[in-house]
Parts: sequence; structure tokens; C-alpha cells
Amino acid sequence: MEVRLLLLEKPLPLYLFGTAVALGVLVSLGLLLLQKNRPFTRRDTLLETLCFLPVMLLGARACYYLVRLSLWMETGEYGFFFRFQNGGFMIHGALLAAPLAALLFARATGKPAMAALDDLAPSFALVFAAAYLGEHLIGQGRSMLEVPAGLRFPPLSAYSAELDDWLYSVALWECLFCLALYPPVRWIRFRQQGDRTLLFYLALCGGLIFFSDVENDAALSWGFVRSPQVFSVCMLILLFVWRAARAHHFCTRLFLQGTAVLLLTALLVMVEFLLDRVQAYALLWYGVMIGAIVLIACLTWRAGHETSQL
Amino acid sequence: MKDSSGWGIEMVKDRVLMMLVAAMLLFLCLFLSAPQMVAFAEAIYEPLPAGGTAPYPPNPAGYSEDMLSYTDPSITVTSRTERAFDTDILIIDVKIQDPTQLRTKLAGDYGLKATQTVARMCKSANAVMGFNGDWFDMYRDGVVLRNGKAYRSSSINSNRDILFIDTAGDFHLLVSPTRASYNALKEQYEAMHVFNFGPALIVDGEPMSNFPHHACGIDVKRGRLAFAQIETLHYCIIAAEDSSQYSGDDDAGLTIPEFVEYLHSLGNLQQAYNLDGGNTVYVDIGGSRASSRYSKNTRMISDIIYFATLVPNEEGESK
Repeated sequence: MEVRLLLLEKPLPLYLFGTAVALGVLVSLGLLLLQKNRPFTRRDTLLETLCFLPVMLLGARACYYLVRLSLWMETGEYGFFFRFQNGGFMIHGALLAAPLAALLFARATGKPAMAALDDLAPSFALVFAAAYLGEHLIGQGRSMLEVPAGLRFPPLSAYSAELDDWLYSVALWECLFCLALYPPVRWIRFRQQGDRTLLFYLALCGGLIFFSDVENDAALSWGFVRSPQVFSVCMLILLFVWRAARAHHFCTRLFLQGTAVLLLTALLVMVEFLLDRVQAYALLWYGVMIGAIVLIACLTWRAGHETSQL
Repeated sequence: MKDSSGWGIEMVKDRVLMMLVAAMLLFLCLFLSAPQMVAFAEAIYEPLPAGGTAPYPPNPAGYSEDMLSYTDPSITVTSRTERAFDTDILIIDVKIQDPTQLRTKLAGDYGLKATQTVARMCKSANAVMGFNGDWFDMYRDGVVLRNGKAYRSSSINSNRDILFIDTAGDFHLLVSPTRASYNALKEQYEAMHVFNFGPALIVDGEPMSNFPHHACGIDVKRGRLAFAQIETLHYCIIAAEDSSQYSGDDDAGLTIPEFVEYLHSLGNLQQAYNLDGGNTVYVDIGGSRASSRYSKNTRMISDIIYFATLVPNEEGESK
């Protein structure tokens, strides 16, 4: 017997990517509801989902749409934004939209926005992991860099039947990275409100700088500039500014930390230039890049803590 | 507070919230596809976007078993091999529906001297078939204009003829070009691709002679590749076997005058332009090497010319 949903002539498409995201949301929602000692009730949790999910989804869509604005202008595909089934999301848009969703939630419930962000930070990790897994399963999110024969094994790389070649499975790396972020973000005890969210944002933005370098998604590039990396670096600087803004008094140490962050950002740009423009593929440079990212994250983390103690 | 059915208002609120969350999850499943998974799927048989990679890969079922021909509703590629001047010559006939199907791809960002194999560029460009371009990065002068975008036009080298392809896909050959003749052509036609290697071999159906000194070795027997136009949206690629060092055939290869003589003998070429000086000849059809099949030479070059399909097949919405 053939069952036709809503009496439709054709079966509805079930998108693997969307289903993966939905499952991620469902699992994280379940874990939140099972979690003890939360400052939110079950209704608050449902409201959180209703506030954060659409706002972050729209943010991710808007970010992707804006990055590729020149293409829509060229092709006249202005309505692309509304065709969700055509795909196109940028995680940075979701990260930027999350504080807006928190404000919306705070307005609706009267609960502190930062507490909601802290509450949901581990869930973000799970949902993003699910999204990246969905992207990987449908054969997207792969690097076009040539994979040496010795590195042709999963999860490092995956065979693409379409290209008849092995490609780095960057989306799967990102999925595993997000999954690895879940335990520390979920279980570490933080002293200050906002620290949980900060740790998640710092780790994810830092990781995305590296992953974007390997993935090198031409669709998200402005010429030779990779927009995911630009967004990630800007977000790291924004986080530093946000933490520094907590300081009631300007101090020399804060100034030095800010200078160091900017210098490290310049170093990142230089390394990226070496890797991309000069094509100096060397582990040393990737090491320098990761080192610079970790240092920026540490300086941002410490800036907040030290200034808050003043 | 509870109503007569035992449902409290608070419980109803919770149920409504849960239903809203469930509806949102259903929306994700039904409407959220992967990034770019089906972008432009509705643009069936519409012209392709001018720049970037061709959006639709060829349909694998469209290739013949010997991988020397391809057919789908928007493009037909047929091949045959002839022998002349003791050399195997591959002749590929290509008919397309829309000029945007004739495309080019650079190995990397312009100015980086990036190089890549023709096969790899064809794969990443979703090419039905492709072949070596003019390797513009070998020279500092000359015009480079691809997919409507001008990269270099500061200097014109009069020793290297220009192939100018307009937005209708028609060829215009400039022999011993000057700044004035190039500008005049640009004013008359909108440029889509401009190549700067040459020499021009057949212009308006007439064979050329008296070639200037050229890096392609005018009087040396070498592998050759000509890109020719038969009529609007109907093209021909003629690839002569590689030179002896690769094919093992001591007499393989054509001089430019021999190549011109052969091309003219085909009888239907209106414009023909040389694109190789020897060892760069590479024609890829569906990921399989069609030219110089016995050659192990897979030189990495800076650009390819390729043809793409307008038809989105089932896997055709990636990239």
C-alpha cells in the first residue's frame, strides 16, 4: 500500500543534511532535558529551541547569502535566500546570530541571555557536529588538495566516486572536532558566567581557521581571500574586545595583550599567504598557524579573567 | 488550573511548544539541503553562469565505451583518428547549444603561476571534454581574458597572433596584432575569451603562411593542437600525435606548414588557431586521455579550454 503524505502526488524529499541537523537538535534537546541542576525549566528549554534554532538558521543562511552576493547579482538569483532546499549555510552566521537569539529568549522569559548561551553551548557543539556529519555523508565538505598515497584512509580522507580521487574529508574532521568540544564545554566547571560560551566560541573559531585552510572552498572565497577565515579571525578579535570591555580600568597588560592578538593575527595572515599564494605546503607552517590560533585564544581567555579581577 | 478534560493550561502550553519544536525539526528534514547541493537545479537548459566552474558534471551514461564521444541534449562530441604525415591525428567535433558551454579554467588564481594537469582541471571544472589552453603564464606580455574577465591586456605582442572568442562563441583571429587592431575588435564584439599563443592557422577559410619566429617551432616536427571553428557553436579540435621522444614514432609530429596543409584539407574549418608548441598537447574526454594515448607526458599547465553540459543530471547539482 502506498501512503501519500498530505495527498501529494509525489513523495516528499527527505534531505540527509536537514535530517542530520534535526537529529542533532533532538539529541541535544534530550540531553538538556535530562541534565540536572540547570537554571532552566523544561518549558524554558523548549523556548530556547524555538528562539535559537530559527534565528541561528537564518543567520547561517544570511551569512552565506551575503558572502556570495556578487553571484546573486550576476545571475539575478536574488530569491536564493528563501530556497533552503538549495543549500548554502555558513556556521559563522549561526555563531553571530546566537547572541541575538539569546536576547530574544531573555526578552521572552526574563532569564539572563548569557545564562542561556552558557546553557546551550554544549548543544551547539552537538548540532554543528551533526550538520558537518550530514555534509560529509552527502559527499560535500571535502578538500581539493591532493592527498598523498600514505594518507588515503578514513577519517583523514575519503574516496570521491564523482572525481575518482581521494580527498581530505574536512567536514568529517569538523564533525569530530565539534564532538571533541562537547565534553570540556559541557563538564568543566567555570567560575564566570559566559566562560562556557567563550571557550566554545574560541575553540570553534580557532579550529575553523585551520579547517578552512585545508578545505579551501572556492565558493566561499572572495578572490584569494577565504571568507570563513576572515570571519573566524574577526570573531576572535571581537571576543577579545568583548572580554577587554569588561575591564573597568585601562591597564598596560591589556594593551600588550591586545597588541599581541593583532600581531598574531598578522602572523596568521602571513602564514595563510605562504600556504595559499606561495603554496608552501609544509607541516611547519601548519604548526605555526595552529600555534598562533592557540595563542590568540589563550590571550583572549586570560584577558577576560585578568581584567575582571581588577 | 485544569479544564474538564484534565489538561491544565500550563500543560497545553507545553504541548504547543513541543509541537512547534517538532514542526521545526520536520522543516529541517524536508527543506534543509546541504550547501549548494541543488543550487540552480531549476535552471534546466538555461545558459551557464559566465564565470566559475560549470555547475553540472557530464552524465556518465552519455560517453561512448571507448570514451571518445559524448552526447546529451545540449552537447555532442564525436571523434575520429586519421593518419597524415606519418602521424596519428585526432579530430574531435563538438556541437553545443549555447556559447556559455565553451569555457576556460585557470589552474589557480591569476598571477601565481599555478599549474595543474589538464585531467585534474577537467575533473574539477565538470568538463565534458577539455584540452590545454595557451599557458598564458609562460609569458609576461599578451592579452589574457577568460570567461569575460580581463586579467592582462597591458601589452600586445605582435609576434603572437590572438584568438578572440566573442560572447556568441564566434572566433576572430588577429594576425600580427597591434593595440589598435585589438581595441577595434573589442569595440566591435564583446570578448568572452582571448588567447595569445598562435599562430593563426586558418583565417576565414584561408590557410596561413609566412609565420613569424615563434616559440612553437614553426619548422620543427612536433605534436600540435589546433582549436578551430566550423560554424557558430560548432567547433573542431585537432590534436596531432606527440613528438618521437614520447610516442616512440621517430617520424611523428607536424611542422606548422604541414599542420596548416592538413587542416585546410579537412575543408570545413573557417578559423583555426594553434595552441601548442610541442609537448603540451592533451585532450581529455570524460577523465580519459584521448590524445597521445601512449604518451606518459602529463605536463602541468596554467589553463584549459573545455566544454560543459547545460543539462543537470542526477548528480549534477554539486559544486
